[in-house]
Amino acid sequence: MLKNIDLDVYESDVLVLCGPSGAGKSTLLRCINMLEHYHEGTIEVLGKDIKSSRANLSYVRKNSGMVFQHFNLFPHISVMDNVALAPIHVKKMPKDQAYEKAKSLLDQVGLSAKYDAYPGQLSGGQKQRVAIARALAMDPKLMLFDEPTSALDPEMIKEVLDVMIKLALGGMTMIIVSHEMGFAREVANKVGFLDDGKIIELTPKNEFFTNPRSERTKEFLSKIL
Amino acid sequence: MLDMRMISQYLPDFFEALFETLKVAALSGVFALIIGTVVGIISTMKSKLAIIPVGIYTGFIRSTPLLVQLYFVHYGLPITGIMLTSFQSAIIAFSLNSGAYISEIVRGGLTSMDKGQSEASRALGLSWFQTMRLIILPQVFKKILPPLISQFSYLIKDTSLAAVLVIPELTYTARKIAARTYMPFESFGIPMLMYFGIYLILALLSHLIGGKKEPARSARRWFGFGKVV
Repeated sequence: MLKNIDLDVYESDVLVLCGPSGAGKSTLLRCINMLEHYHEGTIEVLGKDIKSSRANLSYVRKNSGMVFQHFNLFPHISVMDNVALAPIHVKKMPKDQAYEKAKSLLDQVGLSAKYDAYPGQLSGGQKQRVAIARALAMDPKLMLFDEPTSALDPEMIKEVLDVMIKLALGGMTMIIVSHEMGFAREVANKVGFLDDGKIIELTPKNEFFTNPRSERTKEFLSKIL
Repeated sequence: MLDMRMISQYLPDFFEALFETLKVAALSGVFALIIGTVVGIISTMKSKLAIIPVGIYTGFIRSTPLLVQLYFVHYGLPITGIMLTSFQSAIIAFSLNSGAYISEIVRGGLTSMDKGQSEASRALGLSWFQTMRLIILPQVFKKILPPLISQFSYLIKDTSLAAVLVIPELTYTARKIAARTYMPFESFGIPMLMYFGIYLILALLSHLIGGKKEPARSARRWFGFGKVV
């Protein structure tokens, strides 16, 4: 499905991938931590070839965070446990330390009042903010966002984007599949345009919006802006 | 009509036998749960190497009578050198039998899980085993508790077959007392009430756990556990 992908992302880059649905944006993103298997080529993340060994893949997964379109919170445990789970069981962090960390992360995403709530009791925007906190709990060097606002009510998009903007300004390396062009304009430093499994255009943000190189990109932008 | 003297005389024996029935059922239930969980997980895997033996096991168990399985374990296996007491034979046969049915329930629960749950777990760096133990199985068991309880109630009724191996459980004891007293009405009536009592307790339990959202409206639903496997 993906063809001739050649993509470099550097530290503190904020790359927004856009394009029509079915273009392969999500597939590309999911290949980065191998939720999706790929047949040819190599993907190196944080200096490790993820396909060469299980240890490499596990290293990459432990050091990258992912946020999903449908949140994928664990519904049977509290919000706090959702955030503290991976530090406790993957990093073997002492429990009280993990819960302290979970609290401070939930404070950061504006959910101080929801420590003991269950995911089912939260709104979509709140769920997605918990999901971001959960990913951040592993101190990731890289954050992957797979259409983080597509399943949200319009009025909840901003609260999630605000959290993401804060992260980007804090220097986090981020790869984001999104249709939020306003967000891309504000915080991305690179924008990639995919169609039919190919990267049609990958340019610094300003150039992407003001002077797209390919006709296909122009056409896409004219439709959505 | 009812001989109260006979009942009061033999009631302690019946309760002792009830305890034996519950012991057989509980032990088999625990083993069946373990077998069913492991086999259920294996049956969701993609490898043919895993699925084929599991398919043979569940298919074979479900298409042969439990009574024959019981006879086979107790009287057939000694030829291979495996000697078992009748209690051990009963536990093995009931565990294997119930395990096959439970594996189907577990498999159903597993396949109904949203893929996003295991994806999120993997993305966080959890191992396969951690994902199962911490994320998937707790949710699956919560979901399948009503059918599991109903499977367990079948198991309790099935333990009456252990009477053929001379295990002093409820049915065997009833037959013994009936032969001794020539009072079959009381002798089989009391165990019937006892089986029914256990069933009722389990049905109520299943109803309380599984029917919170949707209260039972009819006796049929109530006695039928609401959810048939």
